[in-house]
Amino acid sequence: MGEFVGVDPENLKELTKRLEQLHELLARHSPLIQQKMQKWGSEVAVTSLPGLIAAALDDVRDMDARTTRAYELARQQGWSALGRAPGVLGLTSNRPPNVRLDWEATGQSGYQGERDAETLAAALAAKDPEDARIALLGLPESLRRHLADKDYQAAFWAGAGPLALRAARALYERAGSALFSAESVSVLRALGASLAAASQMRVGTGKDRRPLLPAATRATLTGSSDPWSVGMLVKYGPEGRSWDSRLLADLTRAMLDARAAGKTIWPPARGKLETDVDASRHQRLMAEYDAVGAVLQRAAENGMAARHVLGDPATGLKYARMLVSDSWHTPGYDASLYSSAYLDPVSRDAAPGYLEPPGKIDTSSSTAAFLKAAVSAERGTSTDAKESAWSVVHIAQATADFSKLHPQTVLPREIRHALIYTADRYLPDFAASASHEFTASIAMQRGEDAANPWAPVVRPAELEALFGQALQEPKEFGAYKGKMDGRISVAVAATIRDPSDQNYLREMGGLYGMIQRIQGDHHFAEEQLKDEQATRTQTAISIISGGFGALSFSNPLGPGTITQILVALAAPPLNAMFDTDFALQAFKSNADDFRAQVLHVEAPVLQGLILAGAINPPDDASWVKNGVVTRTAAMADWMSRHSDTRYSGKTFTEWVKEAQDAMRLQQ
Amino acid sequence: MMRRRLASLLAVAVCTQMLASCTRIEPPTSPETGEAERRGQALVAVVQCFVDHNVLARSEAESHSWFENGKVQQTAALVDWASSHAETSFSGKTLQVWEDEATAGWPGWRCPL
Repeated sequence: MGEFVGVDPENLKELTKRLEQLHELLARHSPLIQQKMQKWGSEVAVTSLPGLIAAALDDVRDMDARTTRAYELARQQGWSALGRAPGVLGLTSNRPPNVRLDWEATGQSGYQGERDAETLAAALAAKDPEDARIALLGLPESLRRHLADKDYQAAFWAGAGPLALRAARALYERAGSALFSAESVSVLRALGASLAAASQMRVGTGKDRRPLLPAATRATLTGSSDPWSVGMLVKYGPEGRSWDSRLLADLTRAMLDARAAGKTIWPPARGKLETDVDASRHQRLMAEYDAVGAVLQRAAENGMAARHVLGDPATGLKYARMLVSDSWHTPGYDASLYSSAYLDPVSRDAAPGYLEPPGKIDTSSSTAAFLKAAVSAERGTSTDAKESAWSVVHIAQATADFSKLHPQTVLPREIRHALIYTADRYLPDFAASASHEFTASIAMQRGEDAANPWAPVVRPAELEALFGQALQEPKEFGAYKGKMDGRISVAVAATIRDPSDQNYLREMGGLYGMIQRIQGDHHFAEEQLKDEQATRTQTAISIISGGFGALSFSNPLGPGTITQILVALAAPPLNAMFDTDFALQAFKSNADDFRAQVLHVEAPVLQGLILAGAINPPDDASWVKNGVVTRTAAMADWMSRHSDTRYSGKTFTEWVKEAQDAMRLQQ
Repeated sequence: MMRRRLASLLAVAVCTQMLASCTRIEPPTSPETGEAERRGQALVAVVQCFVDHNVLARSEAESHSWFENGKVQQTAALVDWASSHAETSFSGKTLQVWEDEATAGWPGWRCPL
């Protein structure tokens, strides 16, 4: 206990206000002060200025906490802010009496945290949301002021944890178009920001270093009986990178488990849904205030959080199975309860459920963003790269499981695109394992060497399932095969240059064969295949023109370098400068035999030989522009004249043949 | 050229035999998945052949997780090892050539060393 002193609450409030103004002024002009002092050659040390400014903010917080306590004591003594003065009509504001308070204890911001937790508790206990709203008016400002204040954060979340998590359910509007009032949104935003900031704080040093939020508080967060409300704090909280990745990962697991267990994850229905317009509106509300989606989105923005979830060798597969699914939509509603029941009651009775539940709204974009984030760590030897590689393994396994259980069902487009993204990012790794079946997919460091980057090694059966789901439309096949054409060029170059014994061309070809087979199963019509071919050409050209400018093949390449280059080319910038018109025009006008002649592997092989320096095209060659091969009749002519010329130990024809053999495209 | 044709014919014959005899195990989703199955098994036999005849030093094999109690295991680590040794020469032929031959003759292929 400290020393009790007598204070005038109103003067204390004024002092707080002036301290706050002083802090603001110093903070705003700090850079200018430092700059001027340096310019004038002042010997006054300005390096401590930021520390002083931070201390000034602490003083503001301390004084603010004392002011709150002083007013509270005044109220306990019977003082009321508004009262009737003798001889005056209406209400006048009353000056609070002097009170005595413990200057030291109340000056600690932890005290303010406790008070704010109590305010929140009282407000949320109010039955009427309007009462809760009024009681909480001052809370957002206080939470914002103490965002970086460990004492406050620890005290507030220790006291308010379970209650704060239910704030959304207490605050939502029972009628009207918006689910939350502006004030409620402000409270939820402030609570979300506070929770995010607290999640990133650490206390103690060395071995004793630990999260500010104790395990018990974290357990209340993840074990909440009201996952929807928790999701709303995350929705209105800050962007994913402002959160602790572990907490977001725990929250994601908790939300997915709650969803799987059939707990309430959707916003409450407000009143009876009388018509199908009401029912439809409620579906829109569900999609807008989708708690699981909100948490998945933040975890995706965070990146590492998604990788913690899917990259865990023990539990990642379980969550990947929940995510790789066609269930990511609002539940829809039973139209038989509404007007449509009157339209055709007979056939409905004859075949119950003959109408699909209408009003389902797709919510898979957050799921897809999460899947993408889970596989997006920078490649390397880090734990993050390891989790990313395991995430790839689990996503492939989950896709194979889904296809096995639902052979006729295609995954939602967004999720399929996340699979394409994954396949693209890990293409060389997939190629390395596409030809041999083995017992179980795993993530490992190549060559079982801790110095090598982490890589997913996925079974061919699972790869086939992944591509079978990912690629559905001709353009998707076209784009993917275009990416492979780009990589084939690198593979040819690598086969010449890389001193390692890996045969990239053959591996890439093996995977290409798999894609080709899957496409064959679709039996696309000729017109659609033209689209596919166009997309493929553009993609290949964009990869080669966008990626190779920065690459140098002049230095000897170490083992693994080519894999790195193949990975680097995974997301090529589209090069608008490069003209694809001619190539496209050419094969549109000359149709079949032109395509047959030049649009298979010859061009990528030729490109690879040029990149490796094995072929130096003549200066006047019209089919090379900035080092990039254009598929023209001139190119076909040049190739026919050089088919028996040897390049790096093989004739051009042999190079092409090897690529074709590998792709199993030979007649 | 003649050798290639013979190999193809042999492969077709083996495939036909395989289709008739593999009803016991899970049927492959496509012939090519069957090929990955055969290639996976052939790789194990080839590497086992190398170890048994000291073409690949036993101490070298023992340094890898895919070698347990004297037997080559059909694991991800083996596939990874094979990927980085495709062009390595063993007894005069690259691993790739060994593997292609064994796959073409699978399951009748026997270690010729």
